[in-house]
Amino acid sequence: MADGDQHVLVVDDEAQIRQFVRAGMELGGYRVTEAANGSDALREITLHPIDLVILDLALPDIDGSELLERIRGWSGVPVIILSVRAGETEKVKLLELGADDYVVKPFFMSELLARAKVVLRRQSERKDGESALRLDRLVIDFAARTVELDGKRLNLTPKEYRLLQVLAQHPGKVITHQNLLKSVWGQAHVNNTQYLRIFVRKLRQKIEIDPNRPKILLTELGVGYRLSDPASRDHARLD
Amino acid sequence: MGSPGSRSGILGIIVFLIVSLVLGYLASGTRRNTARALKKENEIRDLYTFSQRISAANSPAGIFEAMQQHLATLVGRKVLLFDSLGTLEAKSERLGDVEIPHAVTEVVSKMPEGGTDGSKGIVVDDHRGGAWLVRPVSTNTADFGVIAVDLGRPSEVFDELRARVVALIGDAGLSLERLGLARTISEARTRAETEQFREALIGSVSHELRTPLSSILGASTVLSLAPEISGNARLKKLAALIHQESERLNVEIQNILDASRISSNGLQAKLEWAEPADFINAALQRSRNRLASRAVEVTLPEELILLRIDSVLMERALGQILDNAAKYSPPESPINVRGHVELGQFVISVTDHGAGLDADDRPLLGQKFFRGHRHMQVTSGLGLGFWIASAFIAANDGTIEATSEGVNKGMTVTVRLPLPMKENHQGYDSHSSVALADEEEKT
Repeated sequence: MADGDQHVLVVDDEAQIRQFVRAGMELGGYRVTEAANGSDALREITLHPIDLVILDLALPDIDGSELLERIRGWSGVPVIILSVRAGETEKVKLLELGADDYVVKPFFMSELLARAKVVLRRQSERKDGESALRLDRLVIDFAARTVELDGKRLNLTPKEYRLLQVLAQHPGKVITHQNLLKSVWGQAHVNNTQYLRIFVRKLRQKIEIDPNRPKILLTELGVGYRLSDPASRDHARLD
Repeated sequence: MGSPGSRSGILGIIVFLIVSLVLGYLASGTRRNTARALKKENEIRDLYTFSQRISAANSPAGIFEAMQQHLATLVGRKVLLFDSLGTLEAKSERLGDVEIPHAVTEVVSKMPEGGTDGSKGIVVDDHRGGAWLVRPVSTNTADFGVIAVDLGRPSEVFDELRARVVALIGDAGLSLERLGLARTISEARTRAETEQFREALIGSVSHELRTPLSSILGASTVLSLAPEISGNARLKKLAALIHQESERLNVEIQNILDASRISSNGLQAKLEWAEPADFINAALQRSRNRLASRAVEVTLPEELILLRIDSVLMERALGQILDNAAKYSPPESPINVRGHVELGQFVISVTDHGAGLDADDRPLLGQKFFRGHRHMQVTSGLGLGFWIASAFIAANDGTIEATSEGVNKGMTVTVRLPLPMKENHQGYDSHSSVALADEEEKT
């Protein structure tokens, strides 16, 4: 359950979708405001302290991705995208534009709630500025640059550590291939996906029980990788 | 009357006679020429009418009719048309009942497979003093049948007549071929337009179905979360039912969308270096509701395998295969998924212990909308799964094959994907000196 005073803005031109998303979010303990178009959404975000925006891409007055770009111009408010189209290229583009997550329609309410929870927690943790991240069996200490698995120190190469660190800065969030390649290998190698595959495999061999069935370092097909967040674990996904 | 006068009178008569003789001769020549010209004109008019009728004809029947009428006018005798099987199809009517000579039917029946150069036609003696010309309507295809023309008794005009008849049949044959070609083209165009329209319709209908479905599915999952309902076993079941059924509907709509994308050639594989384990896991994850009650055993190689594939398409293809395996095998029976390297290929096999394939079904599997006749009444579905999987795998340069020992002996679906050559495989290693350089173990 959320704090009760966390305020969610649901932006969708279809009243039916707004209706059940509102019901679901309220069941989850959030306060909900609705907007049926882009300009109403912008006004709400400007006038009220919104904690999370659930944004449908197909809006009557402005393209959803353009709206996202405008919001990101001045606000870091978490945004979860709703979309009927599930193209990987589009997902990548939205993540690069600053979306925190995306959910493909049709979706389960439980899934949207789980995503919302992860995104909001990430937001509050960012404010706290924690120096260590605990993911079940894995503990990453950013200050000491060490990684422990079941209490045992892991020997990671600098690139392996850097890869894990980039992912761990936003646990639960999908980091695109391009972003990871740029952060670890530099701009010149953004298209060399094979480097990433090799190092993800090496990392999985060190942190996963079965590298063929990863539970911590998860693949988002055609988009990127993410670290599993305990809050989003085991939730039904439909995309 | 003086002698010079009578002499000049005789001379005048002679001159007159000569002039009239010459004039008469000239006049009859002119008459003959006029008659000949008239005949020629009639023939040309006939020919012109014939060619007009031929070019206006929009069916083979029209051409046959024009050809027959013209030939009958030209030779003034009997014209018979046989179809490609040697059966009499039509005859020139105004000549009354025709007795077809045996010799003609014999030649006609041998004509289609005869292998003779039919362009000049064959002259057949009807053993009654007459001759018939037998010629295939077209020398390129037997489809248009064979024509037989009664040429009458051999005479000096015989050869000329024969040549004209042959030329005429040749023209008609060409028109028929052209018409056939034109028809084939127009049929193909109509088919393509229909197909395009159908795909557009399917696309928009699926989209229109999907929008309300999003609300139904979403709302049903909210209901399942509500304490009033999750606390009531009966209501909880109903909410779950709406949820499951709308999910099933969603899968079928997705299949229709995929199928229409494949049919309209909208499928574009985005090939990237990828690990097969990733899409196999994603497919298992997506199909987990259908696989829920069974043991799924997955065996994959220990080492890193890199393929050039579109992981998203491969995941969907494998998902279809897994769904089928779950659909056509008993709920508690295990399913085995095995990936291994074999002869330069990465091979994924999915084995179930279910209905298997019977001999009748085997050649049909893989066709769009095919469903085994044993399952028609029992298991729901549109029969698109295997077909979609095949198309997605083909887009990844792979192959798919289904084998079964027989009815109720289970089935194995084998997918083979090209494994990049060892040299290419090391392509990513060759960069290692620069990009993959990684200092030794961190402290």
